[in-house]
Amino acid sequence: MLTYIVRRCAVAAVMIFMVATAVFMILHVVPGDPIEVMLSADGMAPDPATVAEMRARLGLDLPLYQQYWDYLTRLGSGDLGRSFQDNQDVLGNIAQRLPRTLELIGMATLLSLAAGIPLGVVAARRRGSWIDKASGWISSLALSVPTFVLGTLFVLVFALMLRLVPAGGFVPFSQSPADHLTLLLMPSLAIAVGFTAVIIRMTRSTVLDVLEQDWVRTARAKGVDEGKVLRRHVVRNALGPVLTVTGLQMGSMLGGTVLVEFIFNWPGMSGFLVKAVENRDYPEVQGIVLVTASLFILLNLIVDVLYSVLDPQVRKS
Amino acid sequence: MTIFSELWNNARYRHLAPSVIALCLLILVAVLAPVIAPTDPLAMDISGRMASPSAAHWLGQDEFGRDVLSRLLHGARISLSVAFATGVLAAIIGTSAGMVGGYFGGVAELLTVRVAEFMLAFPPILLALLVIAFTGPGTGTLIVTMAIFYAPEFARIAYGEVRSVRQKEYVEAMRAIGAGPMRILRTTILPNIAAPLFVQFSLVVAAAIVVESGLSFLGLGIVPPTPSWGLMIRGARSYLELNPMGLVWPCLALVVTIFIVNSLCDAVRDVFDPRTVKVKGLSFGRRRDRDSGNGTNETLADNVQLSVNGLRTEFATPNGAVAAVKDVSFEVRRGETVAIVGESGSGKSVTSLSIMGLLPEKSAAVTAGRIDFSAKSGKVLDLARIGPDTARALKGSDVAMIFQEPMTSLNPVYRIGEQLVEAILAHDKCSKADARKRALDMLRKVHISDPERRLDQFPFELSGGMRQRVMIAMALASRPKLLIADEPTTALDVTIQAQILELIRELQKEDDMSILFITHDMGVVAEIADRTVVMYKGEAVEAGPTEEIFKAPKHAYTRALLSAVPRLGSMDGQASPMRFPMVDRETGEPNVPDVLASKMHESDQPLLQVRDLTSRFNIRGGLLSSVQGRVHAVEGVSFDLKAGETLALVGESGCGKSTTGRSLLRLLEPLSGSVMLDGVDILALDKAGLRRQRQNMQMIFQDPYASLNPRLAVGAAIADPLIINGLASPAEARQTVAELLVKVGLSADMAARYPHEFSGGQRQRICIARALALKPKLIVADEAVSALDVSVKAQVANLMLDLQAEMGLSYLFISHDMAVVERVSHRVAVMYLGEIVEIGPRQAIFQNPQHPYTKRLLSAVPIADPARRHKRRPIANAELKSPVRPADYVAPVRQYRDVGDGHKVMVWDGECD
Repeated sequence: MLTYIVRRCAVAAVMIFMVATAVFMILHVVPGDPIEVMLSADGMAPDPATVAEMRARLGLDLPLYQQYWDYLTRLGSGDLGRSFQDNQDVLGNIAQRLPRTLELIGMATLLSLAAGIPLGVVAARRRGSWIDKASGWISSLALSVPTFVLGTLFVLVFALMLRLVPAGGFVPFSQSPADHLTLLLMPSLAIAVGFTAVIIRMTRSTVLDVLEQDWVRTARAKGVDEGKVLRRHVVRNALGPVLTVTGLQMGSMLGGTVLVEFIFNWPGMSGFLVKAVENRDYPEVQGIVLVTASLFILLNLIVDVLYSVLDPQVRKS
Repeated sequence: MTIFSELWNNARYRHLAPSVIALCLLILVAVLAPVIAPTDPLAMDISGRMASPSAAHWLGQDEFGRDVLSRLLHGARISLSVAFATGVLAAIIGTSAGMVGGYFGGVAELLTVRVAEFMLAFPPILLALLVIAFTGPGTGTLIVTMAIFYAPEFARIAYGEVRSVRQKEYVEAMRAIGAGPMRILRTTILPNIAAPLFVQFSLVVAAAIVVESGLSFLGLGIVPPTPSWGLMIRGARSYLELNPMGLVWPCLALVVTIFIVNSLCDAVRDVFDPRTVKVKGLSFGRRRDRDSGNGTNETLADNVQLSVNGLRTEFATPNGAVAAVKDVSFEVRRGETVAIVGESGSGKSVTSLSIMGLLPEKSAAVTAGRIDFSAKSGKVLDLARIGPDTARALKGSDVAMIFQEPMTSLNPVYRIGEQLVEAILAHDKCSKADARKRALDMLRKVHISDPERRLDQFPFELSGGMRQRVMIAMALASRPKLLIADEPTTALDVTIQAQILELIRELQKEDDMSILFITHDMGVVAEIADRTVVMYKGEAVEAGPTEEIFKAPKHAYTRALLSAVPRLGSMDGQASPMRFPMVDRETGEPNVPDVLASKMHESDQPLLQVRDLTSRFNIRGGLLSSVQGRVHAVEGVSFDLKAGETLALVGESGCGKSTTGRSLLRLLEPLSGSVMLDGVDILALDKAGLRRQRQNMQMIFQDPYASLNPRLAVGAAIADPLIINGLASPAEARQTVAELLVKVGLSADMAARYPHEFSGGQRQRICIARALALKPKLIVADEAVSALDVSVKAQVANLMLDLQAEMGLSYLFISHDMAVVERVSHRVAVMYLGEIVEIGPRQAIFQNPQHPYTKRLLSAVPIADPARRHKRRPIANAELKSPVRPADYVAPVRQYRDVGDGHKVMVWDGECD
């Protein structure tokens, strides 16, 4: 078990290092000067003096290996540089916004698992019944509505037409917990709908698979009662794939909350990224990509470790 | 065209139709948008800003007064073309990378699959944003960027699928007939992995539609004023309160499009999922408590435990209800063992599941008859009529069952102890600690080694034999009156089988328990059963005391079955192989003489000379993936094989017999040694030379279902070796295929059919025909008849003997089945832990075995003769040893003792006892 975790951690560390290198390479090796791209707003060629000054400021006039080394040492000390736009510390900017994005993802995940797993199990157990068919249709439909479409429609229906909730915005939890949660509800629901559909489908198909396994027949032959067979021998064994798909979904949300944050004016990290991209604020884009990719890798690490808890064969090998 | 009609005729493909038609309509709309759109989508009309629907503008006008309907239609064009272009590009890049990585491994794998995995570590939309940050938005950029980010998914799927298909025997068969890797990838592997890739393709198309519209919505995708649904939503969002319908139309278009693509994706997935077969004809509701559980009026004679009367069990199939068991009646008395014997499809397992109440709930049911059972409580219950609660109380407590597959019958995530305790607590109210104590007692009772440690182990840490002991311990924990054993030893090696049979007998005596033993193996029947029921096509054709059935079978089928059963010792005094006598199933009359001409030339140089062949595999593990040990699969194996001769390579799992066969053909590269075929050193050949030489040696595999490519007509499969090696024109090949099909007992007109239309025995004949196409001198038959039913087994073995007599073929006959080996081989080599421990003429090995392992193996073989039941030697309770050795293990140099007449025995040092 320990060997397994140490191995996974080592792999994750190498991956993060590779991501950092890749981000560096995009800036330095890819043809085209990002500084010129950055400065050439509105199709106007930038002033050569400004470009030179910017290059010196970012240390781009140094030899490549020197820049790479500086970059890595700065990263090592947690320095992601300063924003080109407002000269703020990039790490500080991210640290302020990241928890809000994670909160959104966490809430959406909780809602999806709470609704998706029970519905998936019931649909599999009562395969072919009305509840199975209904959940099948609803999840097909849910999977066909892009999050940003659903979000925009939510705003139209719940905020503008029914006037049940505000159209968006953010209030810190410390200021007003009730308002904070009310504002959290719509964006996380908009994300959770498609996510729930994925969980329902995965749970249903895995449970159907497990129901056909020999050990389920063995449990029935032992005279274990049906509820226990379902809980202990079916659902327990079906959790692995559900966990994997949950991890994948959460990972894709790390980038995918962009649109929802934009629609609901949720001041999280992804909205921040869009602004950075629009402003061509390179240090900020670089910092956000690095942090997000590292989180993604970390998330996969957590999923792997949880998986090994669920599956003794992985744990013991 | 034939493909379309075939698809249409298959009901499963037909349910693709709605989504395919919908998608085609959508594509048609996109293509025809310039023609059918009422106005130019870019034409502005300031006076008509956000105008309501009118005759000229059916869906109204947008914030610039542009026609909404025209923009929607043109938006479809953009959406679909971006999405399909992305999908196609991603599929091409990803699939080729994944296939190459999966097939070749090594550096190719590192360069393709590992890079893809690394790219999967980025959320795609994030990467798209990153690229767009540099390049600025644009349609071309969008397509290329998305394609690069979706390609890794294809690579991962193609890689995984190739890895699994690559193991299939039909791919190995292609290598054996000399096909190159690119050809195999293109013609054999790609068609078989196309389904999951197509599903992925439709997923990517749907995802690309979402990402394109999302990015456009953010203003980072399609550049205005090009009409795109995302941009339309973006525009409408600013005027939500003024013109809510402006938002609804593009949203609807987007949702409908994605829904259609998703439905196609689901439909494709369903088509390839065997679980979705629609069944009709029967609707079995949940079984109600038709009986209170207080017993029936029926009384059973004192000594009768179970009485089955007129049992009929029906299954729901796509063609309506089918009876798998018809009017079956028999009795099991107290303390007695009754065997139900039959071939596949005879209904023997369904009979046992009917008694146990474990039929699949919705697709099968007992529709007639009684299953009277005398319970512990003294009542007589009809198991076909009791309700689920009564049934559950009986299961495990009064009736218990053990199954064929010990590897999958235990839940992999719970410890052995937990699973035993669960069985005990299901029927007895006692504390967990007491239950655990009883579990330990049970493990001791089934003679498992180290019982205390086993309690805390997981199933995967135990061998198959040990798991079957655990299953028995679990079944007998509550001292049932009746044990149903469904092929409990079929998946086990012969020495382990003998131990398990002995254990079952011992425990039966202790508890005076009745046993219903389901098996296909007449040898096992003779060993264990007091009385026997023979089943054929769902009916019990004959029942009686086992000795009588064997001595004087009355029914024609029983006679046919018994004549096909190889009996160890039946070849005493016979020097050459002999055909199996065949008896007609319907008449019971013998119909084929068993004479055989031998073409073996005693004095000839050996055709095949193998010297010191060694194959090892590294086992890696630990932090740095260092070599922790090695499987010494084949270790210093040497033998000769003459033209027209059959050498049998026998042994149990892990003895290295299959690896030897594959190493000879270099389907696996051996580590060292030499293989001379007709004077050519096979191991020294380059790729082209090896391809030429493979024409002289062919292979037949065990699993007739896996060794034919399911997507290739059998005629093409047989012709492949000729075409690939450039030995015949297509017309000549067709002629040869026809001749070969006749030669293996099929008919020439079967060439156009596909493998799924044939039975297992017929498929094995097709595999033989394919192997013969190149006119090889040597055929390596790896368990070639082992997976076949007993009567089919005899027919295919006879075919092989006939072909040998006719064509002078040499066989390396790899098998675990000693009784078949005795019948078909001239000489025998016994393998144990990767080495040949004894080799010699067949008679010498069977009648005068020298090595302790050979003796153990032979004494474990069940003999299909009840009269010899009690003449067996006791079997030591030993586990099978493993050929895994530590990394620093040095294989000892072996000495062989000559017993005379080519009979050689390895000098042993006690390790084998």
